[in-house]
Amino acid sequence: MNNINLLKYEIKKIIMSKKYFYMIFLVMALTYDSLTRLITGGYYGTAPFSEWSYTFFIQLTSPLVISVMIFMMTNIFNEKELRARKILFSAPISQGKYYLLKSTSIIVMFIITALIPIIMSFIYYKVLFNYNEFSTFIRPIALFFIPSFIFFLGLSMTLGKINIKLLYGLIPITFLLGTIDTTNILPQWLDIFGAHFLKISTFAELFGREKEVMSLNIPNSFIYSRLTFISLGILFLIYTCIKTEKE
Amino acid sequence: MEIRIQNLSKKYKDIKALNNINLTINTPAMIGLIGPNGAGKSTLMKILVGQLIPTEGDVLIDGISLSKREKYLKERLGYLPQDFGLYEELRVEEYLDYMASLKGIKRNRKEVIKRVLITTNLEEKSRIKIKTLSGGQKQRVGIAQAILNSPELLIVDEPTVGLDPEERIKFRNLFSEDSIDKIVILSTHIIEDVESICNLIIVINKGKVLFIGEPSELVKKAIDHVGVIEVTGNNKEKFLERELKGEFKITSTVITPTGTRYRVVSRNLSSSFEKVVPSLEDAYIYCMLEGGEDKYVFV
Repeated sequence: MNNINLLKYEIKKIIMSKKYFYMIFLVMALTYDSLTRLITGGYYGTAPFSEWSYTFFIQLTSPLVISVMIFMMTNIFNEKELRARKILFSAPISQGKYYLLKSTSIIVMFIITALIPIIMSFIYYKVLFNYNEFSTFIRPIALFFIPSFIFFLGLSMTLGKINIKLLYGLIPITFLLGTIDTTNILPQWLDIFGAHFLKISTFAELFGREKEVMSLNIPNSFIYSRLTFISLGILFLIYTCIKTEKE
Repeated sequence: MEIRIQNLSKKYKDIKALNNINLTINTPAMIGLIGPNGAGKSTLMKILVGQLIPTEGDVLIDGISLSKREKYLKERLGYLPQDFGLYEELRVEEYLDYMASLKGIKRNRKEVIKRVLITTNLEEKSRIKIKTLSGGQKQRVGIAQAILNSPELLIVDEPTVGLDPEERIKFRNLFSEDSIDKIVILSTHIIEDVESICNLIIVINKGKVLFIGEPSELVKKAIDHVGVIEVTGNNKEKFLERELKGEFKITSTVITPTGTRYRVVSRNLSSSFEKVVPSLEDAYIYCMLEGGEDKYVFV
């Protein structure tokens, strides 16, 4: 089996679709709005290119990027794909390999989608502030983007395999979880996008501070919670790949 | 290749889609699987390609259970389901390249695809997106992917649906030529397709096999059970009432200057009918009439 060739077509199918084009347009619009309206002034008095501001920026864009990913994942479980599977599964490909192939294409699609706000922000910082120390942004990206992505990738695969309606239901839930203030509604362990953590840190460290430059301290507990989300996502993914379904 | 179906049954809740089927098929064979809608043809095919698990019984591929030989079978299988989907956003050649990769075709992939495109008369459409193709052209893409890996076992479910008469003949011949060194199982409603190419017929109804044998054997069974009669206007209603009572089954109606000429199949053909040589279609109807009473008359 030529996996690279298969992956090439899987990615092409996603990227060349109209659905994805509109979604990219939406992500670009939100990124532009976030950068010019909310990030340009800096997060609570920090510099627009501070780790605080960038973490806030990632939190603004990641719910939409992940919602786009889930929306594109509906293609794996929709009626069209189910009909195509009648032929695909007559070829010597196991269901596990099939889901792995689909997941890999989604990972590539996510990377491409996530690169849009990231590259746009880099251009924005370079043009507006002549700032190019982008390595400081790796930590916010790694802690606030990747864990939620892996968790939702695994969860979506599992839910989609059970019923596509659950996947459609997950899209608004994901978006709302990342955009509305859930501090008083949901427990802290459900802080998938890290918004709860950022709010508490903001109150604790930025309000009434004496120093002008404050670094963003990430406690171990937060890192552990991210590792938990990553592990859960991987477990969901493994479950989807190993559980074969036949009538 | 040898396919041995042993005591195979498939139940969907309370409905028995297949009921204790026993069959042995050896290479080479060109098999016509015929039966009415809901007879169990597609269920049997899905079990044969490993997409359904039987409730009872087993399918042995070269002596080993299909459940243990799924990969072995699929490496040698070409399958065209009845109601299938294609990746419509891809071009024809891209889809075939995708399927070739999936089937593990590594050597001369491009040549293999080209050969299949020529065979299925899709060469001119190779760079066109599948979504823009007509129903018949999509059916041809389906056939093309099924024959990509030169399968030892080719299972096609209603392959000629949506094809024009010329294409139907072409594909019929293609399947027939292919069956020289392989097993081809062709499921269809079109008796003409089976008549012209199959050396073995399996008639299935209500999950049971009613007949297995050569087409000529099936036709022989219907001798003395097929007749024609010309009915004038006044007697027409009375005649049609007799069909409703189950005395016979009308297989064709031709309006003539003097009345209507009916061709009928009956279990007990009365002397009022002029006996004629049965066609395969007549024989199939006769088989259905007999098998409708849950009798294994021909097996």
